[in-house]
Amino acid sequence: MKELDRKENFATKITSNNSTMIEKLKDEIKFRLRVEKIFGDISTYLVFSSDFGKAIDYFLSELASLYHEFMVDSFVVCLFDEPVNDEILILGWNSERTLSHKKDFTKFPIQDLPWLKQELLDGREVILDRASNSLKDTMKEKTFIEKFGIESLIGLPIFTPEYLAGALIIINLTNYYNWQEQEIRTLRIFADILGTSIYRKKTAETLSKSRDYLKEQVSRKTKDLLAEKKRIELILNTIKNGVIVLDIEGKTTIINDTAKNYFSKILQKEIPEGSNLVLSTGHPIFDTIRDLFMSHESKEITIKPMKGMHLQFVSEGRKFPVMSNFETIIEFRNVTRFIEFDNMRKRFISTVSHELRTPITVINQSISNFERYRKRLPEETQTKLISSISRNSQLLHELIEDLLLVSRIDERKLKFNWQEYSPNEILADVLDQLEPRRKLKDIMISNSINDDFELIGDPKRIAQIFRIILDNSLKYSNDGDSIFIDGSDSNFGPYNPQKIEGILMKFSDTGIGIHEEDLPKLFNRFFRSTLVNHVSGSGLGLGIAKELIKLHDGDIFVESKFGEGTTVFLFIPKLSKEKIEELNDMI
Amino acid sequence: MERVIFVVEDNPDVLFNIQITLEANNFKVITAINGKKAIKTLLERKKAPDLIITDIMMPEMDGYEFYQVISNDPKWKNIPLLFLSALATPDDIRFARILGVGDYITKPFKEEVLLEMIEKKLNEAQLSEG
Repeated sequence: MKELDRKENFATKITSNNSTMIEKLKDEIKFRLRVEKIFGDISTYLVFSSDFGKAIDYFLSELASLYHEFMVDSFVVCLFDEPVNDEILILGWNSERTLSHKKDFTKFPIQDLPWLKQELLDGREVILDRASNSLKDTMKEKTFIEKFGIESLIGLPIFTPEYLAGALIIINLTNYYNWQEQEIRTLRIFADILGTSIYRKKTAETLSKSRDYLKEQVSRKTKDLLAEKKRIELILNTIKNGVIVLDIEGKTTIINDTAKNYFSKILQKEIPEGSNLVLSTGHPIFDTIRDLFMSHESKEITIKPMKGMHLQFVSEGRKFPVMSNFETIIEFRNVTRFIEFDNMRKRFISTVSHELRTPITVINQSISNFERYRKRLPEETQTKLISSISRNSQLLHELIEDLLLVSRIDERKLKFNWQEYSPNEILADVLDQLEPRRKLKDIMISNSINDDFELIGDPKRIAQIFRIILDNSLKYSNDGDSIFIDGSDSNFGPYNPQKIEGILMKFSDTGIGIHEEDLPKLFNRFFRSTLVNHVSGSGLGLGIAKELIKLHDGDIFVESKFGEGTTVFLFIPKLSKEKIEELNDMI
Repeated sequence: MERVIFVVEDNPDVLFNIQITLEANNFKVITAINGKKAIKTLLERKKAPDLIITDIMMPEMDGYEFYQVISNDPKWKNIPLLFLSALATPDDIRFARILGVGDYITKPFKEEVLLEMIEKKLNEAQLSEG
């Protein structure tokens, strides 16, 4: 019992001694914890806050409350401009006490304290204490203290790992405090925190500035690329040819406006970008695209996706470009005109050879039959053979002449001899030439043109036109029929819509007439109505007549009633010298 | 027995000459001046001709159409048929072959060629009839 008591007593004594110590320790620990908190939280806050000034203010206010008992009047953080020069930026200050009877230190006037400024700029610690004996006792220092009535001032440089960033200044203005070395050490730690934070912030800022710079560069480059893309798109969309670019799967990455228009016309629906034409079915155009997509070499395919349209598709084949971008570029153009022209040419050649071969066949056959079988053949048959030789020989001759004329008209190699002529005179000549045939068929031709018109043109060609028209009239009239020729001044009427001055000539026959359905084809090359198969003819006559009169700036029209007869209207304008020059250029 | 050849040709002079040639070689000749009239003539006849020679370029129904009608009709599809035409491009001959007419004479032709071809076609027909 006594042991315990003694122990208790002893413990109490120790405790009572310890309690003061513990209290002091507790305070110390509290203080240290707060310091640690400031070290931790605030330094992070300093680095990452967007408003560094605000963070510093907060930091300083924490310091102020921490050092409340130390009766610090002001905490000031100065930042020196980097690289260090004369500029000092007061980043933050905290004044707990404002003094009414002393100079107002609410804003730290570092610029007015050149000595202090210089010390700080040189990175030196400044510890000033009115009462202290450890001062260097320089005049400057003494003057400073007297002048500003400071009790104590501690200026600690803020160093970053790379440079002197600024200074932390702690000022006791009114109340003296005897700063202990230990305490100053803690203050130095705060200066260090500031230094590290400033450094980290600057690094972060630099990074963020670089990041910002990079972002800006990227954004600018992206704008440039977009502009370039737009420019290329504009060019692509102006091209008359269709352009389609397919990616490795066959999806459309680019399809220009021309292509879009053609596709929507052909397929009767829109083709959006990104659609896969290679996997589509239902139209030969997809087969073509598939074909080109799969081909490894350059290929050309011409298709007729719809009536009246021929498209030629071209692709360069799958090359392996630099960026491993397996794109297929397909281009197509409208070749309808070329195909149609080519077809026309082929048809023309085919027809011409047919037309030439037939009379030659007849001539050969007739001669062969005549030679081999003459003895067996009746007189009538022999005569028929001879006449068929002569007829077909004549036909061949006409055909060749007509073809040559057509060819020269086509190649614009026809030379016109522009002269004054009288159509009546030319008509008379032509009628003279046709007299034997007229007589043979006993066809009456009457010419009621009494006016002596004077026109300018090529008389040879005009004669040709008259001959073609009258030749037809004679050919397609029966024995005893009639042909009436008339002509009058014409600057009005259905065949002169522009009311040009000229002459309208009429050639009317009472012949077999023309079927209504044949009328529109009448001027086509080689056209011959099926109803006149028994009559020989090249089928070129009216076509030639039309070309020739058009080269005189005139025109030719036909009216007819099947079984009753045909009237050919020929309009020959009165030409001025300028018009003749113009026409000559046309030839 | 007299063999009958049906000649379909729109040009009267050509037709006339073929008729002379064939008749001089002991064939009987019946004629028509286009495909349409040819079909009419065939329908009117009791007995089918032994051979048909047809032009291609004819109005109202050309040689190709005429051939297609003939070859699809059981009455006439076995009659041997010859094209005789001034159309002579490789495309034309190819087209005829595609249609099924392998025998094609181009105008102008030599009489011997015509007669040889006629004999050949008639012999073929006879053999297949057996």
